[in-house]
Amino acid sequence: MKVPVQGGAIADMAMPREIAPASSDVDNPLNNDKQLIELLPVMVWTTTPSGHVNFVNLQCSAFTGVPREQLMATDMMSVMHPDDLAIHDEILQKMLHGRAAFEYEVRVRHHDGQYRRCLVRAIPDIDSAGEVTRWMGTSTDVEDLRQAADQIKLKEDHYRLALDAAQLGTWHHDFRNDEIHLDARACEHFGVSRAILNRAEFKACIEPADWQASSEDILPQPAQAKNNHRAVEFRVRRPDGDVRWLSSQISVEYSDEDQPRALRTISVSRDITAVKQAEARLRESEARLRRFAEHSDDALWLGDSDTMLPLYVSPAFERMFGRPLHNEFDNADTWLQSIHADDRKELEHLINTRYRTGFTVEFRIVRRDSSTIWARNRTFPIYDDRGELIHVGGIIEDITQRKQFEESLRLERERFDRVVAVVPGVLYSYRRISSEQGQYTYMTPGLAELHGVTNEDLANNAATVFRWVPAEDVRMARSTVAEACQRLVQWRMDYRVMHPMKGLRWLSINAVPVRDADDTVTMHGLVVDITARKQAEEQVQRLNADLELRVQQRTAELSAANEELESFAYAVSHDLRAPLRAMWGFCDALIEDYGAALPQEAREYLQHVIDGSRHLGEIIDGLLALSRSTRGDLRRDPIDISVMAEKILRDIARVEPQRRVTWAIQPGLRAYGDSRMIDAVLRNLLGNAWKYTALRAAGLIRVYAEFIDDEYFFFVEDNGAGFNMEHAEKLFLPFQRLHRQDEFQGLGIGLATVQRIVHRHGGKVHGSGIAGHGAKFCFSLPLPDDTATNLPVIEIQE
Amino acid sequence: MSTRTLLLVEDNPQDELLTLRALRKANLNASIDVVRDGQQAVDYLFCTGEFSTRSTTLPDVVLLDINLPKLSGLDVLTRVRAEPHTKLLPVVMLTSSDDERDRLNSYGIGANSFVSKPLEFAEFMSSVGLLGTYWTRTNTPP
Repeated sequence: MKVPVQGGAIADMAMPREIAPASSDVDNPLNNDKQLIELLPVMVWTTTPSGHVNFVNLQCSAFTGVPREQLMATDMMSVMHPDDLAIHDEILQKMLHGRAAFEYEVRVRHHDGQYRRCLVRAIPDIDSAGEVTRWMGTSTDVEDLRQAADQIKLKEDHYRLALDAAQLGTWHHDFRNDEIHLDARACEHFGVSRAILNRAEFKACIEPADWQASSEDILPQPAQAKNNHRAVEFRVRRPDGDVRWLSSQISVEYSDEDQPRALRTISVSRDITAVKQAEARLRESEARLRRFAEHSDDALWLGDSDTMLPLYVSPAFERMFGRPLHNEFDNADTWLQSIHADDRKELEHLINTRYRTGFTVEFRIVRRDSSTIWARNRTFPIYDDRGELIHVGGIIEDITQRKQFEESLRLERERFDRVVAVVPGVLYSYRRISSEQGQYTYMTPGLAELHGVTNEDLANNAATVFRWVPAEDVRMARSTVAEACQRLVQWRMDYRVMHPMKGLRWLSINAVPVRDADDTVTMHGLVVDITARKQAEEQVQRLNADLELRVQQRTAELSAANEELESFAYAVSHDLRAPLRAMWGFCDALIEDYGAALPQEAREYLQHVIDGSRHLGEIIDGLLALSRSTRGDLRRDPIDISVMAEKILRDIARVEPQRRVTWAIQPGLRAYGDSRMIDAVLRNLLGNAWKYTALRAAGLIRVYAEFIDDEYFFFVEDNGAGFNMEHAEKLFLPFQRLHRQDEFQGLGIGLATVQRIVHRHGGKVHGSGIAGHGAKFCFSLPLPDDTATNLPVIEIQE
Repeated sequence: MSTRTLLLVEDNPQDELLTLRALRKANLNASIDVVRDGQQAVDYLFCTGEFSTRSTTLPDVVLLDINLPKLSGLDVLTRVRAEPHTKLLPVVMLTSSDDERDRLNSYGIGANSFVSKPLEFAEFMSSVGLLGTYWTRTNTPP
């Protein structure tokens, strides 16, 4: 049985209600038409004023299945629910003491054994004296009705619970009185305490801006309420200042008339502040992420997991690809054309096979301006909370710099390897842990071979390099290394290896120690086989020693030869002079003792012998002087050249007093040299000057000094016969003469002697002349280096 | 005044002749003994060997050549200077050498004079004459 739901009616149903007393008209059918009463489908009964049942109709017996007599005998208590007996007592009290009609609901046992709720109504029958003569009543089965009501109540409870659980508030706007009715939750939402608001009060709750924008949706005028279901979101400002977002679903209720009128709006409201805040946060977060993506130098992209079409690409793409990307990603082929041809195939393959699982690949991008950059793409799947693939994401980095760096590193490495390949030795880095422990962290091939061990040996124990090195050299190496590591100085050492295959080898090691971050020391260096050099050095040493010996031998031979030469000169002076003296002496004696007896011609012949002897004697003296000038110790006497020259000229002049020769000697000429030898030099030069001015009426000899090219030159100059410069090269050769004997007598040994003496002093000698106009000779006597500082300065006085 | 004695030690016969002629021309009032090598000179001076019978009188001066067979003039001089009774004997080195070393050696050992024999005859005559005169007349020991 369905009961139409009518607002307000449900709540009151179970409550007892006073019913107006029945009029006397009611009695009539009961009294007069007993038959009719018997046929009524409701239970009808009467009692005495004290409440004893004295009549029940047929329906009572039919309903309960109990005979009428029994019902009356028990006052119907036998069919009442035991729990409702208290109600029966109440009814009896009403009947005994009351005069008002009443009704109760009592459970009555149906003939099927079930108790059914029945509405008991009773009215008193009052006589003219005002006494209750009897009570008449009906009992109506309302069980079905009640069950329907219970059902409705239950549904409403559920509805209320659902609203509560959803934190939904309800409110309605009644157009008839323009009142807004709110339930408790809605009051809470709007921040009001009263359940009924007028329009002004309600408006005051709404945020003005939202009211302005949405008042027609929130509180529509009846005429405007067309759409019977709409949603609106607005803010309410609560008395405590808190602003909340509400979402309302608003329905309009119309009348049942032919021309329906809008009666009221019914709204369900929900507080969506948290959602709005979450949305705002999400928007902010998205904006942040987007800003991050837009500003990143890396190109970020997001692709659809199914269609593989891009959903988002960051602006860095344009920079990277060097072209606008309006349409680039509409079609994968378009942007693939920007990939370097050599890299395209691999990229395509990866996209086709690994798009949803992710991959990393490096490729070149050929930009519109034909420049090429290197890029690295990392593609990765993006899953939602349930672990389902929703997107594919990717990051493309510009790795050109890294690639360039790698390339330059590779070139550097190649160069290094090429250099290493031609380095005549082995490069190594040795990390030293202790004096006997360490390891090779780097080495070019050959280190093991140089030391006669295997690479495995070295890898197992670095100290095996010393396996074939003599203990003495190992000690030296260890102490050198220890010191170098301490002071961090570069060091070098030669050591020997008794190589099992090659025999004795010499190696040279050179290293720079560097302190590492962990405080150990690594030595970087070079090992070179210097056996050949060592052998060459030894050879040189042997040769040098040999040479030394030979020099000594030669020197000894030379000094022997010199001695021979000296004894020869000695012999000459003795042995040649004696017979010469005899020839000369006896010729003289002959002329002296017997000259008078000899014819004139014989005396002349003897005179020729004497002249020849004299000439020979001069030659011998000259040779001896020449010989003497090159041997013996060279002394360094201080010499006053001016004084010496003056003395010599006087000596010469004394021999030939008839000659008229003048001389001019610059005073104060000083020199250092072997005075006997320099005397010979000056005697020769001045003698020549004297001799060759013989034909001059007024001979002039000058002695002076000049400073030429950082050297003092002493000059002996005359105005004599001079000589032809064409023959100048013969000047200083022994026995070479530029004049005939009948012009000027001479041996041709003097200038040779001069040259030898000057050269022995480390000086220079030059001669120049003009035939017929005089000759000029000069010589220098440099100071020996070691005495220069100890000797007084030679002052030249003009 | 007793006759002066002069000992000439000379191995070269021509030089001996020339020397004797020069001394003769110098009109020395002296007897001249001649020996021809160093050994003879030593024997003469110390009265040994072939001169063991000679009286022990020493000459007033010895003219001593350096280049001599057997013992050199310097050896002879060394022996003379080594013996106390000949230590002060005047010895003049008369040699054809004008070698510096000979001169220094001679004076080092104790020669009284060193005369280089000149080649020119006149000069030779004058030198030897002067020598003889000096040592036999002027330089008379006290």
